[in-house]
Amino acid sequence: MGFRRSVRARGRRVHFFTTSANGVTTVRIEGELDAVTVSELRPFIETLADERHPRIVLELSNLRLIDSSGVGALVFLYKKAKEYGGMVTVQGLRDQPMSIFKLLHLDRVLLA
Amino acid sequence: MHLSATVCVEAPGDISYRNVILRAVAAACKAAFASVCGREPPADEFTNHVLSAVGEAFNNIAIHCYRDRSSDIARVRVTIDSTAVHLRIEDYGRSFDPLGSGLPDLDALPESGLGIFIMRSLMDEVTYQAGCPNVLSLSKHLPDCLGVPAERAGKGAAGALLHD
Repeated sequence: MGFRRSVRARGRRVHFFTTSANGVTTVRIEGELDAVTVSELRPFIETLADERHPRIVLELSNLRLIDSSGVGALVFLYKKAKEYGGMVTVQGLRDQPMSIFKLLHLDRVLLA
Repeated sequence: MHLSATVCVEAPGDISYRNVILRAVAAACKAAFASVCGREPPADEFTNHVLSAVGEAFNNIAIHCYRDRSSDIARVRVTIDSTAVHLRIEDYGRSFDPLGSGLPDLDALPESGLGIFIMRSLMDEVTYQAGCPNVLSLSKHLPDCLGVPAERAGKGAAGALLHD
């Protein structure tokens, strides 16, 4: 598995890592993805979309909290990938993020 | 034990204070709940719903009400009684009625406009009064404290609209 990018620093509330293997790009997002922290993730998400990865898995088992801003960033990636024929799925959801995904019916679209 | 308990939290209405507000409200909920009900809050899900709603409300204050102007304060008053948690959220910015917008088309996978829907869905009662301050009031029934039936909890203020 090839390690590609990692953003993790002390004091940050959101951390994200990307690995690629067998044509699948896995993005692990940890911590809290909200109106404040989404600004750290957004450029990373936009780069991922520009690179047109064919299959992206968002691994969210260590995501503790998400709000509408965070959801917006993930939906943006899903839509961009769909435009170029790629696929984005989510795995590992639990607790508060799972309840938000269910509320917004995103579990039907994005859950692997 | 008390019949009700109220805790007030105040911070600048700047988005950088979002996490401060949420942590303070979480602590206030926990302390007030213990004071009224004599034990910990009923379930993580209940607290998560309250915090998700408050987070979206604070986003609106910071992003919309205090947009293009120096932010003033945001004040959150948490009251817990034997049946519900009540939140009174005040700001002194531009009025922004969360009840004035329609429900999002979830099938279209919108990237924005979801915060108000989340807030209305997770709380049982939502009211808004424009003024100085603007006052957003949110209430959520306690699921099982002191005999409140679980089916009263979590239907959401947007529930009736969703199921029409």
